[in-house]
Amino acid sequence: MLKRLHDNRPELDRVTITFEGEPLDVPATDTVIAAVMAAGAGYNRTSPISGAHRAAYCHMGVCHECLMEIDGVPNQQACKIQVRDGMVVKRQYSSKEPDNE
Amino acid sequence: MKTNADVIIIGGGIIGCSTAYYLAKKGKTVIVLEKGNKIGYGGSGRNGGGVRQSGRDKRELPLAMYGVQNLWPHLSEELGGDVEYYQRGNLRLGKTEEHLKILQGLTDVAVSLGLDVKMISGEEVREICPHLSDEVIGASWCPSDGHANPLLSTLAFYNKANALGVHFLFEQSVLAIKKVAGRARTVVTTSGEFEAEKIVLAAGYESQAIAETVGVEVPVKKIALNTLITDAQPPMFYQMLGTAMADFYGHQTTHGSFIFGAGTPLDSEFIKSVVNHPPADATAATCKGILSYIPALKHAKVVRSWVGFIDWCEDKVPVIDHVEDVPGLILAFGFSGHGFGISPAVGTVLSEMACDETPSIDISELNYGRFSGS
Amino acid sequence: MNKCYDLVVVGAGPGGLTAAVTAGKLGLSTLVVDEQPEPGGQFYRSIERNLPENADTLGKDYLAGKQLVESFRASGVTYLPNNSVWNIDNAFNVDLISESLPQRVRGRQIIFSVGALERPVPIPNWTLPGVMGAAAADILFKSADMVPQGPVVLAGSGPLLLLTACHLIDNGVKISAMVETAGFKDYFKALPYLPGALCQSSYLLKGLQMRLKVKRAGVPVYIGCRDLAVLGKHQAEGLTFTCRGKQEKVTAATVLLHEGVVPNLCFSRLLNCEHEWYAPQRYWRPVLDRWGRTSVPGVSVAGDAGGINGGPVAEIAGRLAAIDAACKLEVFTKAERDRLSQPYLKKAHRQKLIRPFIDHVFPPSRQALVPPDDETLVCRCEELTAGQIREAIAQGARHPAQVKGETRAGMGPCQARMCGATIAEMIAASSDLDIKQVGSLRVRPPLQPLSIEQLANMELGEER
Repeated sequence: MLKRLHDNRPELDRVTITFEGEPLDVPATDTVIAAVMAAGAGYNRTSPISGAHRAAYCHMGVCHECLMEIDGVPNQQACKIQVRDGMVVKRQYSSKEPDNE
Repeated sequence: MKTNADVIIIGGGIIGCSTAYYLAKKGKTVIVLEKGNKIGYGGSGRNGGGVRQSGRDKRELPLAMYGVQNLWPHLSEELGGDVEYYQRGNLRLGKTEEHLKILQGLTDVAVSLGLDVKMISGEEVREICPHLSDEVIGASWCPSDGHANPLLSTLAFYNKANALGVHFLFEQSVLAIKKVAGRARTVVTTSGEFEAEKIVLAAGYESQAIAETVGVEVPVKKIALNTLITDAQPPMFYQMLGTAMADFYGHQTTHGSFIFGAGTPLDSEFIKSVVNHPPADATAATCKGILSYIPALKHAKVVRSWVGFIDWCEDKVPVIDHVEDVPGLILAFGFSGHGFGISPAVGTVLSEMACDETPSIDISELNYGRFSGS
Repeated sequence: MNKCYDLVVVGAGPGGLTAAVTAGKLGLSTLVVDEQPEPGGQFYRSIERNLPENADTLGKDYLAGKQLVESFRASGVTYLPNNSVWNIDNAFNVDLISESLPQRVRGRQIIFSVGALERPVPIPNWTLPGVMGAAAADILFKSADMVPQGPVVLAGSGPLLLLTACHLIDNGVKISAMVETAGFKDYFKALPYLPGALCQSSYLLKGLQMRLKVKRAGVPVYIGCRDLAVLGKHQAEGLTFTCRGKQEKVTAATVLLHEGVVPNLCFSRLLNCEHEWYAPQRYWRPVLDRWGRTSVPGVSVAGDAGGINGGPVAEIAGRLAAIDAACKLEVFTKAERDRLSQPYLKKAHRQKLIRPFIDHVFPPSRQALVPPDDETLVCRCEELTAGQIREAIAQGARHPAQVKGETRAGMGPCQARMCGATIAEMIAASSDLDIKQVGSLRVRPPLQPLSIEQLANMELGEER
């Protein structure tokens, strides 16, 4: 999980995105992964091999853990994409269920 | 290091490995001379994995049908390694009347040889595989065709042959075959000389230069084909797909990724100039083709692309034959990009030929004599 | 597009920025491409828009980049942000993709300043949410004004671990512990290199100041630690490790791992440049001359992509590579090039003197290189464990490509960036091969996964 250092930043443009159906008001400079993790997402995808929860590891485009579905298109690297007004963001869920709860 | 055996096989690809296995089963001692330092990283490991009978030249059809009927279904079990064989059928797609004519022609020939292939309409195609584009107006449909994993299949043959006592020698670049008392008996490599009663030449595009050392000439040239593989997709379909114009072919693997190959040959000299990678244009053209037939895959990500080299024979089918002037030598190359599917059958037939048995599969039209002037 | 430039620079970090500014001044038509939306790379990430409130924490070294970026903006070179290079061929056709628009450009000379990445740290449960690289935390601070949820445990080795700790302290994040894998044995082994480092005493002083800050903040520091493992089932909950023979456990909401940074070799490998093994930090780097020329004519590397030396050295390397490119393009003679470069070569040499000491005092831990626990995931994408890799090696795999072909490790979307080096180290550890003999996975296009649609939309280039 991530925390914003300075919540009140009136100088920044803000946009509204949807994450898992819920609206989120975020600074326009956020990347998608930063925005959802700061909003308490916890994880952004489940593994296609085991169904385990996964979250971004490197935040610089290398690890490919940050894959999410953005505006209906899957497998987007959320650490490299900036939020846009009206963007629809969903976790990337695989069809696999984790073995043990 | 063992330097003599009943049979020497030049080339450790799937043809070489399967032949070695079937020979070992017959109790023969075998040496396989492989140029590289590992198995499966030439064409055998890089191809698209099609195990098809439909769409083939009729001269290869007996091999293809024998393999599907007798060998592929229990290959994993027999070799003790999963080759990921699927028999879910093959759709060869057409978008124009011209395409359908080509497909009809291929179908008619195959039907006359007993293959279970037939022409179907666009609607029927989409019933079998709903993900295909509305632009497809028909296809040839062969339910007994399928696909397998090329690298795992090659390794399965290799591992079993190894376990049965076949001697695999690596980093052996073959320089020449030498005749002794009129028979091909000796193979000269960079490390020394090896002797056998029978020599099987199955070295892909490297075979021609080796064959020339005993005066054998087969019109084969080295060309490049590009391939690509996507990330894992939810299970969509397991038929093998191809097109009338052979511009691309592919299937979904056990893992979920889609593997697609292009059918358009690329100049292998040119490939070297682009650092042995698929030129961007070739990958783009293959993707254009895929998109036009399977729009459902538009968001699938291409994770890897590569180039493989094939031994392209002038008349597009291999030469599998003894050589009258060079007794002891058996040729098995020129598979022209469709050797994988027939490899178990070819291995079977080569093992019979190396034991002086009559081949149990009709390969008469794949003879060496057909190249006039040889 | 197919526009041809004198010089194409890949990467707008410190090396790329100075290369561009220098090339611009020397009159070369220059294109800079970068996958990020803003210049600065990782070193000067988001430098154009940081909060004044964060200035003190970010520090002078970082803020010094502001002037460089301003010069870059004013330099008149063509800058294409948000553009990823996915292929380059021998004729230096460079294929770019942006949003969904592909284009192709050409360069007569190429400079790669594509920087570095954190060495993956495969310890048990490292794939749990709540585990990140330490540099990742720093990227989030610079670019998003965010910090990880505390309490945080930092684990591993390297100056960046210390720097990240200090940033967290300044930002009021609770640190439950710093768990360092380097220990007295390593400090001792590094002593012979200390004299060289003393020429860069300001750097050493900064290090000491950071240590003092951590101490003053009351953060428990453990050194010489082994057997690190993340705790937790679906989310990171802490870290266990052994220190001085005793098993320890630390609770944390975030685990930051770091075992040094390694050069980004995608581009140098794609073009088949020659590489050499750098033993103190256990990574491959392209073989470069003093100008940054690789073994491939026309291709140079500037910055950490050629070997880790940090931002200031990258800036010097960028200038040198651009001067050399101008010479190759016959803007001036070799003699003139040498004259122009003298001060930079001297400066680079001085600045590099600290490196052997740092590289020896913070070696990558054995555990991170060759995970001992069979259950540890080595390939994150395809979920393959160390045990499965070892089994493939036991069955005869001696090249990473064989391990890949047989296990699927390295076939996922990250294209083996997170597991390739680990596989190679494991082969060396389990066989009689020296690491230098093991070989690396082939790098082929696309350099990052692209969709069928994106590739289909690519305009075909010139007719061949």
